[in-house]
Amino acid sequence: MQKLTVQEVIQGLKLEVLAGQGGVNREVTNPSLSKPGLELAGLFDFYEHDRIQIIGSKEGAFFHWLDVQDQEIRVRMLFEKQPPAFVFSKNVVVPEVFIRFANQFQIPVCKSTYKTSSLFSELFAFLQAKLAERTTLHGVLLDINGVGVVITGKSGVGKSEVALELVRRGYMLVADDIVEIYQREKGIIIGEAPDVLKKYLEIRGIGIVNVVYLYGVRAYRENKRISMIVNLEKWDDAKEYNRLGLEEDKRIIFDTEIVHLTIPITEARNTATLVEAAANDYKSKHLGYHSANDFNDALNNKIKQNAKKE
Amino acid sequence: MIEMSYKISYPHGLHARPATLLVAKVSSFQSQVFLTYKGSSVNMKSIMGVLSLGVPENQSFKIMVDGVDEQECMLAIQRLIADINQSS
Repeated sequence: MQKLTVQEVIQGLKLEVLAGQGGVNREVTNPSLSKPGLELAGLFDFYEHDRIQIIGSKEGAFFHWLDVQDQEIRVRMLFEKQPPAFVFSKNVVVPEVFIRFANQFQIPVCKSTYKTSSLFSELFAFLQAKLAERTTLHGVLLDINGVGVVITGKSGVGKSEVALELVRRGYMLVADDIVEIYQREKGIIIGEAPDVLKKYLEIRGIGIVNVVYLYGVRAYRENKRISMIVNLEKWDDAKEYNRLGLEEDKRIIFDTEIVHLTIPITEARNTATLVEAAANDYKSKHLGYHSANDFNDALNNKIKQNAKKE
Repeated sequence: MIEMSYKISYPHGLHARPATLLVAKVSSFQSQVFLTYKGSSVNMKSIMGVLSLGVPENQSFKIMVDGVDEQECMLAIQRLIADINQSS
């Protein structure tokens, strides 16, 4: 499990710390959030005290329904369980009692510039990105017309060279060689480069090049959702390759299925064009047009018609 | 499959020059070679991969070799690391 401190959350979401500064080094271990509405109503059986607590407009309004004594007791109970931090959304006025307990327990109370639902989703995405389990893929990640494609294959098969050609054609490099990936949520795998390698591409015979300097800022993207994996391999006569594209191979990463293609390469095949075509075909399917199925339907109709004529 | 731990005593650790030497050496073998440092594993035939780890001097890392020529490969790595450490 990755480690994250409240301080990093404060910086990441540009939160304003109102009290409890002494607790900014507290650790956040749970990527989920909690809105302690039930708890303010007096029910603490379900209090998720290992999560960051969000006080939204609803909780903020409800708080003022309580009499002073209940406010005091319940907020104290919220703090006593030592959650990592409290974050108030944009339009909630932070009650004095929170400030007092924040300083007493040294638990940060912060204020966001987002409204409740945006705060919830922004903070959730941030925590997922920081705390999600990470792994690496050996390959090159590119954004081709909005499709995140990881090119894999043995060392020396020409992954980086293909990437260079695709960058030259106007697509974006995300990561060369080492792609760090995590699952933001089921179905969404995000890839990015490790810090040292960001923007760099290694080309045999030339060396390490910075694509932003060579091709401009449009040639680089920080991170990208991965839609497909294209595996390049030397043409093998003994192997059967997908000819029609009616079936799709999938590869499972964490618990997300990713389309997986194997493209054989030879001198006569322009690999960059093949990868580009694979990405465009993926996009076309995503937009609702499946070339292979369309072809297949037309063919089946033709066969039926011919059968009738007999 | 064989696995061994190493340390680089070369000043500034596994930076561009020693990394290039190691990658070039293992690339001449058929075996798959992985380098693991602080829980991240990379393909040791990839210069970018090895550099991305940023292994500092005198910190241990693991090398795992798997394939038909794993014995020879590991021996070559051992010799090369000894050479690199001596040249420091």
